Amino acid sequence: MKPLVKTVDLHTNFYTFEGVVRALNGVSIVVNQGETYALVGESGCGKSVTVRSMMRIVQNPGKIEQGKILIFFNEADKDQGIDILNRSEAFMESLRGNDISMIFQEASASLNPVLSIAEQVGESFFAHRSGEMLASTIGTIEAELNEGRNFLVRFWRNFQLTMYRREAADLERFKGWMVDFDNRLYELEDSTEGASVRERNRIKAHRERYNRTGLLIRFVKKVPFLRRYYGRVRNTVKHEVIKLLTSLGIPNPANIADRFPHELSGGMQQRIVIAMALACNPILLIADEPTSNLDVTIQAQIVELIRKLKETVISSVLYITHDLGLVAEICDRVTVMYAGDTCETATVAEIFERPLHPYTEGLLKAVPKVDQEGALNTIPGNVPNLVHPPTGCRFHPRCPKAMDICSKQKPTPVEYSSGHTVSCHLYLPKENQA
Amino acid sequence: MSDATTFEEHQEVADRPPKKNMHPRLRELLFGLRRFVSNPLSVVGLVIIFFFAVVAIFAPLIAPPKNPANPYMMPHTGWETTPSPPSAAHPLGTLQQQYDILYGIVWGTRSAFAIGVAVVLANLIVGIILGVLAGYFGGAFDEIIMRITDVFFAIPFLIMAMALVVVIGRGLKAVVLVLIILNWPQYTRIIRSEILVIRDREFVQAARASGASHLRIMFQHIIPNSIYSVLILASLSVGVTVLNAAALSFLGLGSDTGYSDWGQMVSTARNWIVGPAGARLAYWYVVFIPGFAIALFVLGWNLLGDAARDVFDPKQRRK
Amino acid sequence: MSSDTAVEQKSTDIIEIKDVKKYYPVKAGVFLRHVADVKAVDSVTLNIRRGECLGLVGESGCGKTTLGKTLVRLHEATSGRIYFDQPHERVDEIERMLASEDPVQVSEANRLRKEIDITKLSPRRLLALRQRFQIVFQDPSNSLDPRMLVKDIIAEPLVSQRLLGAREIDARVNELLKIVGLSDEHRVRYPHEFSGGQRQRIAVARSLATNPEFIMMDEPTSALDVSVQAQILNLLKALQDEFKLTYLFVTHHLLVVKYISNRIAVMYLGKMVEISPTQDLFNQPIHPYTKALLSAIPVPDPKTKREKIILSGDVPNPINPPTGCRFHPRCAFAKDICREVEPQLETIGDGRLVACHRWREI
Repeated sequence: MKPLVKTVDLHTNFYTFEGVVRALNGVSIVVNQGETYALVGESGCGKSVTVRSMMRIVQNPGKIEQGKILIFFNEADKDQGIDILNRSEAFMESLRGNDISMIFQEASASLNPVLSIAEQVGESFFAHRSGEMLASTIGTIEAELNEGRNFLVRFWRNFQLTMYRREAADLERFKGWMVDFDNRLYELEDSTEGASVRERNRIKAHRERYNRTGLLIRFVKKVPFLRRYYGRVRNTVKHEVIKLLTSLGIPNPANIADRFPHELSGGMQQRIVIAMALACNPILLIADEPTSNLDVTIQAQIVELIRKLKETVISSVLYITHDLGLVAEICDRVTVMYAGDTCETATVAEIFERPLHPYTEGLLKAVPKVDQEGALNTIPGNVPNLVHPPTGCRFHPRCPKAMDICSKQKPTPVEYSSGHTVSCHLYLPKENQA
Repeated sequence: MSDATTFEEHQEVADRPPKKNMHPRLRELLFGLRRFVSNPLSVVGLVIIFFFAVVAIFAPLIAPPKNPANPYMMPHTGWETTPSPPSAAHPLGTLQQQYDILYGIVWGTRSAFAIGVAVVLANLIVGIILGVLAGYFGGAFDEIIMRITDVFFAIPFLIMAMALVVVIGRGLKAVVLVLIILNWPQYTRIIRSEILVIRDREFVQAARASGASHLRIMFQHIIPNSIYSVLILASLSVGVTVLNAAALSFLGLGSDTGYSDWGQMVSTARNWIVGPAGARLAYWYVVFIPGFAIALFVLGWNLLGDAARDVFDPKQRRK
Repeated sequence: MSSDTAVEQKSTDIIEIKDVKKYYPVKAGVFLRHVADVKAVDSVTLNIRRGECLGLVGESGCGKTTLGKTLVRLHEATSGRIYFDQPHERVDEIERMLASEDPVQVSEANRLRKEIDITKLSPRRLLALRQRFQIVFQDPSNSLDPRMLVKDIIAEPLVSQRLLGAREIDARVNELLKIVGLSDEHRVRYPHEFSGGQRQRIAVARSLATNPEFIMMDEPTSALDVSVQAQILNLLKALQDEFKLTYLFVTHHLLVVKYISNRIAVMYLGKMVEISPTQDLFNQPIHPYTKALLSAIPVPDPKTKREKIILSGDVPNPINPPTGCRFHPRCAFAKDICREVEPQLETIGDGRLVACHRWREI
């Protein structure tokens, strides 16, 4: 399996008034190409922070302190990967929503209540695929160009065509600039020399001043009546949106496209969010508890939808969930997290069959099963406060198998069997424990 | 690097040993105080208000009254209409008719506190009672109260205030009364909207399921959880109230000439804002000193109000 | 309903719910005219037996929480009767009188209801009865007053109902803390200083304060993490045994309800669709909705690959529920009769009830 995204020893802290919350304590995970991967853990274990760090959208007062996030998207960097922590924000913008898409638990919070569904989903098209949209609009207008009998109609179409061509050209130029800036920035990234730091800051400030479209377009878009030319591309986008909704199996897509978020049920809202995430054919879809707020029957629908998309459109899916049932049903590989540590990584079958880490074991026994007999096993105690995390292995105060060393030293990950990695002193060779 | 220092600083706060065995109410208070002193502006506000409070308390010592039966009347040493500049006898100069500015400022501090506190306290009481009743019971009562507040919000404040003072009869008491009448709707509105949120929280339902009476629910659960937003408003509006009172005094609707009230002093100084040709700023002290006192007083309360928001605002508190 | 059920019920029922409806009016326009009703609970009849844990499951918006809160009279029922711990004969007597044509009998029945029907009790009688039933809410961070100390929160029912003196209350609070696995040192703290699981323990302690017989559990574990959920479930089970409690356990999590309940009632869109002992329901669900619901649970075991029934569409709007059987637009077995006639709950033996026209065939 080839890796797609990889984090190496990721540390993220939150600087709150109460103190430093050490949310991630050296998280190393790998999402491979073509797999459905799950991050499992209880609330506060850092699973959401991990993916937010991966997309570099950690909210204030959070900060990625150290570590690497490597992506292996392009053919060119298949072996080495790009460390996105060193890349510019513009690079991240082109990545987010384009190559990596994310859907959140609260679908209603991800949707803007004043935009119709067509406009919402269309935003993703405008943001990431405006070039394509313009090209296809230009195509349709060119086809119609000679049909117009009326002089005014012909004039109007010519005007539209000019504007769209102009905009497409602007966009190309803008992209060129951005690529140049970005390459330049990447070259200067590591240097600490005064002149290059100044140069870097200059480029960064310079870059923000550029607009995607030129002055003429921006002017025309503000002129009443003239700005109506833009309706054509909107139509194209809406058409695309309806096509996308149809492909997601949403019933009556043309009708849904004109509705507003509050008119839709929770399940339908989540489907719209998925549609927005899919607008740009992402390589990786990150689903942060996409179904925790939904009912089981609706959850089944959504999970089935993501599974189908995984087979057809997306390369890899990264699920964040606390529901072990969901993991068992849909995922290939899973990492169990606890209090900012990764406990164990293995294939799903392996982890349910042979859980190695005491936390994984406890977690599996704490879930009610269909053939549950006798009392549920519990893990005593509570999730620790990460301002004062336990020393050594963060699970040791609740661990039934804790040894002396557990409170002193953080266990290093060890590959127990092929593809099954565990971070626990129980499985470390004896000489290391001394 | 700068990151490292913030980390260390945070480390220090975080590693401070948690105080065990302390009563949690005390711990909450300390937590609030720590937030309070961590903001330099709020300390500045506190210092300003503390300064004014000291002046108000020790007014008889700082500026001994000539006539102890009526200490608020400023003493004047003659009928000379031209103000005189600061001198040994009058450290801050005099107004027209030789009213001593220092005396007026010192005793005016008492007036300012009296106006601000009286108006805000009365507003708090009226606002909370009506707001709680409207928010908790809802229905027709709520509807009536809210429509009345709408009426108040619809009429320009100063015009309404002037009209009312004229109806009641001018004087400082009238000004206070009018400010009370005009300001309660704000408090009612705020506490009502707060209560509408609290009322639906599950702990109120839990109290009902435990058999708690309406009174108990109101006093034990709803008011303690919704009071903070009005307290913030109250601390912010002490300053504004004094400013409004000064405005009414300036318009000649407040106390009589010679009464120790900053607004009245500015009003008296009206004719001397601009000096004779060639010395435009000759009488700067007559306007500047009382004006500065008002501004400083308002600033102090505003800073204090902002600090109160920092300390009380539930969004900024830890979970 | 047949006499068969009546025999089974005997007088062991602690709560008898008869034909309870809860409608929320929808108002619109400038004058807030009443235009429609949200039929949250629509004619539900259910018995809760003494000492059992009855699981009430269904999807969000099906009315399960509304029904539960109506039981403890946090909501006022639109119509229907809820009898708490009444001899079965007496309930039957009143029901018969209510059903009769004779206005004298009906008014007599209504007079009697003021004394024993939870939906009609006077405030004084209700307060007295509140000692005997309690409620635990879903989210403990919302159900504990953030500005009260733990000891005051737990003592609240005792104080509100003026049951004990100050010193006795203190002793009782300590006892309750011990019962739910907390200790004296937690007395003088605020809820925000506790973790979610501990908060839920505090909420449970509060509900136990008056020694109730019946506790309505409104999704008590759905806001908690898996490992803590197990702690709370075990605690609730132990408490039930120790204090002979009766639970109505409202949840959408079927595996949780399977673990804790003896009997399960399944609701869909304000209606009961199936009531059955837990084992039977899981072994052999009868109603098509129950079947779909069971098959949709993600099972935490990668070896069992089951055939899933994926329902199409969403739960319809309860303002305008489908005619006939409310499940028919999503049901794979729907026929004409399902669209036209509303199925009634019928007994099918083994203490099972189901509301489906075609249960024999499918």
